[in-house]
Amino acid sequence: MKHQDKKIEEKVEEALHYYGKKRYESNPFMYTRIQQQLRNEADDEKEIQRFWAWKPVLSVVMIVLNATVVYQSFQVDEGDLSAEISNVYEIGVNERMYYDDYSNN
Amino acid sequence: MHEKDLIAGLLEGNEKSFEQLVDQYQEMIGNVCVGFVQNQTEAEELTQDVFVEVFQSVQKFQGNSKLSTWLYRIAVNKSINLVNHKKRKRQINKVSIFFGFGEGKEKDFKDHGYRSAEENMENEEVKKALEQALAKLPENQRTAFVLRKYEELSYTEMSEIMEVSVSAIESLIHRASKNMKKHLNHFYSNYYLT
Repeated sequence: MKHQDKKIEEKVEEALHYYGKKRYESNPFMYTRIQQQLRNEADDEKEIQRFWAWKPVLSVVMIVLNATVVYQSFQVDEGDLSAEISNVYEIGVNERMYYDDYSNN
Repeated sequence: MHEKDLIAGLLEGNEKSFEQLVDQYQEMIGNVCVGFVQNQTEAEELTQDVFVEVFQSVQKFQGNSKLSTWLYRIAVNKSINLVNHKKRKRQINKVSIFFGFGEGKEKDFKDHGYRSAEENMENEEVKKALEQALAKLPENQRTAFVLRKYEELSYTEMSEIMEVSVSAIESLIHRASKNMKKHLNHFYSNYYLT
């Protein structure tokens, strides 16, 4: 156990000694890599801008689509309403006829 | 090139100045990043990101501090973000392994039995130990430790970079060294027990 503790202590010291020894090795192509990354980012930005340039057109299309759907739904409602009215009217006429028959008898 | 001329060139968007900046400061920034991530490839990627950010935000540099101080700050922030990201990933992976659907990436260096050179294995072990011990340090202690050990900066310079007092830096370094020893001890105890 004591031997193990000593070994651990040695390892800790070794690690602390190692720390700071490993240095960064300069990359001679770093500037080229940075330029490439900047170019890629600029391209991405352009792509995003191109997408947002379509935003007003997209908005108009969406409004027209919505208006069409709303208009069509009103049309259906009106048709349903007139059918309902005629149905009610027919019932009323039938009832009236039945009432007339009944009162005549 | 003099620092003032370099800054003026950067503010004008002069490519030559930017190239000069990369030449002059790549090693310094790279060393800070290596200090945090203990890995050349990741340090290169971080260094690249630092320069990209410098290029994009150079107009914000007000010249109140030295250019190197500003660069150190960006490098430290980028490195801390990466270390924290890796730490979160490791924790998620641990949980995944616990529930039986992890990728098992948490395997230790001990599993890399295929490494032929024993020395390589030893270095991997030390790197792993340091990386984990560093990740356990609070951000400010970690930063102070890296800047002191890698860049051998004075307490005054460090206090400018970290925007704290010199006495706070002294205390941070003391606590960082103590905690590093504690975490490394814990790492190796687990290693020899399992």
